[in-house]
Amino acid sequence: MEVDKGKGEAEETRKVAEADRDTVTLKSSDGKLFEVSKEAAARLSTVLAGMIAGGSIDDNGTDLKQIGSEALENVVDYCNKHANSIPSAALISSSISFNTAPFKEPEEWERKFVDRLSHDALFDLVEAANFLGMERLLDVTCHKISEMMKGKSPDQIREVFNIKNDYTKEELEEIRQELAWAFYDD
Amino acid sequence: MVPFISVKSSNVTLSANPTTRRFAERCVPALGKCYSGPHLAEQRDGSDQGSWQTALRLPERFTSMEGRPAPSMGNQDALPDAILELVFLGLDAPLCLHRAASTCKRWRQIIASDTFRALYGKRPRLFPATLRALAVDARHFSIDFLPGEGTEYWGWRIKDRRESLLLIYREDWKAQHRDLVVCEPLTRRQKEWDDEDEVILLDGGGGGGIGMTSFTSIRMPPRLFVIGFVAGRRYWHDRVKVSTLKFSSFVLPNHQFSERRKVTLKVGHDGEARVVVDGDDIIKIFARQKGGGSGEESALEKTIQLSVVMLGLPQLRFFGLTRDQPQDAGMIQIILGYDRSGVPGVPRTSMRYHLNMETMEVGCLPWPDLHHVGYPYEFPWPPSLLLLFCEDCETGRQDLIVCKPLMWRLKVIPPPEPAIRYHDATAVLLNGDESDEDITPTDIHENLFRCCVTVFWPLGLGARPGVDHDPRLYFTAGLAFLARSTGS
Repeated sequence: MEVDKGKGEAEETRKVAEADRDTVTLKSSDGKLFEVSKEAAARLSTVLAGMIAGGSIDDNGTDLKQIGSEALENVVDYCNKHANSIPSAALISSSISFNTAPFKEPEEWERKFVDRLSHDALFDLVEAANFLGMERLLDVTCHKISEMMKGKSPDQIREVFNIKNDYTKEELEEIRQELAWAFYDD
Repeated sequence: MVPFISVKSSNVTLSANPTTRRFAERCVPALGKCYSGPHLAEQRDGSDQGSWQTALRLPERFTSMEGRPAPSMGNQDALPDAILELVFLGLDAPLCLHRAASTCKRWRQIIASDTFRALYGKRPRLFPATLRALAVDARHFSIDFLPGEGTEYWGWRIKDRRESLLLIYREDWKAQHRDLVVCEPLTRRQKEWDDEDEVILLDGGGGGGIGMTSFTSIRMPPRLFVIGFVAGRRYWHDRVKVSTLKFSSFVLPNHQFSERRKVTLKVGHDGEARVVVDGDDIIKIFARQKGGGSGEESALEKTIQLSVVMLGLPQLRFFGLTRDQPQDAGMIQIILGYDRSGVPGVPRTSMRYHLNMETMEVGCLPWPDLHHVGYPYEFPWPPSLLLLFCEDCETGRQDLIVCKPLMWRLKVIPPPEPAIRYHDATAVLLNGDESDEDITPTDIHENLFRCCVTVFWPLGLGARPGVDHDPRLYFTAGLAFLARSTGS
């Protein structure tokens, strides 16, 4: 159950929490508290699993100083949604034909989950997933970022990611010559 | 002018790049001091192919956020390198990578690192067939910029290739002139010189990898035939010996190597080179021995009795190593011919099989026989476009297949005229008139790509003497090839 935020997900969270009282409380860098099912946390995050196993969970809120409240909210949100979507996940995975890759395509809900995020929130979430050792969330968010790069020219990528072009004119020209085939003919 | 995408030579280390080094150490805990591809392979003795990915999945890869400024979107330092690498690994098309790399120096540094390239090459295909066409204009593959094509030179042969370079040997019989051309189709650069000897391409040294501005060639002693380049070493034989670049040699068993295809090179499960010798019913596998003085020795590692391996299968008449060996570690491709004396259920005269060096398991390959190894041609990095011949033994029909393994796309190109056999076509090259939009992602058997990682580049250019001196240029769906007509 989310303590600070009373959003739509709280309803679902509450159900989960009531069915399984076993939750952990996480505290963001700005002091907000979030609750997440212990089972989901342990399953999805290697770091939290380690903390739970090691008994370093604080009932009054485990400090995660590196994660802001917005990112942590998304993490908790993801954990809850993940817990709720397990039956459909099994169905979907069986229908994928290219199942040799260890990484499966993001599912519909995962896609929607990352699609609604702003760039800032997405990048923060990637780092939070990285910090917490959440494999799947990291894959899904990285996939989203990859998707944002695909089909774009270097200029467009710079724009989307707000990258400063630190090449000199000569260097750029050199790259263009070497890689003429890789660029749009413009 | 060293293109960042040129593949590094085998002896380059990454010590100059602390970022990637850090990542490498995080990813591959067992890693020693050398980080370049072949060395990497050597350093992870006994580990399986999947270890890169396994390593990627280790918690070690997770970076610490301690001491880092608050992330802000758009700041180039917003995402740690390790995460950026994950993001780049998700880009299926090399094209996307190149574009990403040209946005800023830091991204380029990450993408150009040997570590990343090793990961990229071995990564599983994450998102198959979802990309819309990101085709590279096929005219960039043409070698039409080379002078002398067509009439005056008739004998064009590709003698060697390394990555994006082709070494072409041309012969003008009328003028009694021969020369060699090194060219890079993608950048349309070339260099010619007169030479008649066996020449091979080597990295230019200096760590820049091999490219138009950084290659050397060495003249080989006569009667040495290049048989391949594997695990950072080049091998050739003079019918009895197999040598490495250091010219260490060992004597193969007493076989008559009248055919080149009696000897082939493979990478074993451990990433080390293996020399595979076809001794009729027996396959002998030789491995390089490490240590023990300055020289390198190769020793017989395994003998596989084919008739035993193939027990229970229809009786064979002949067998041979295929020339287009798959790049899968530890897999040998063999071709087997059957006695077809009315045995039901034996549809073909010959079939291809994969033979696992270690377990000796044999698996039949489900597609028609492939012929004609050409020379693999690669984008400077990473390789992404394959061109191969395909022949149906039953009907004799020959098609060309162009595929983009990284994008899971494939296109079959039947001959434009029935009289033309690709088999006889003296040239097949990618050229202008580009449109490969109808390459469909369907019907791609996963194994196809496993086995066709060797690329089939045209065997030669021009017409043959005494046959037809009027080679015609055909364009078909983004491919052009010269062919002599077989009819009148």
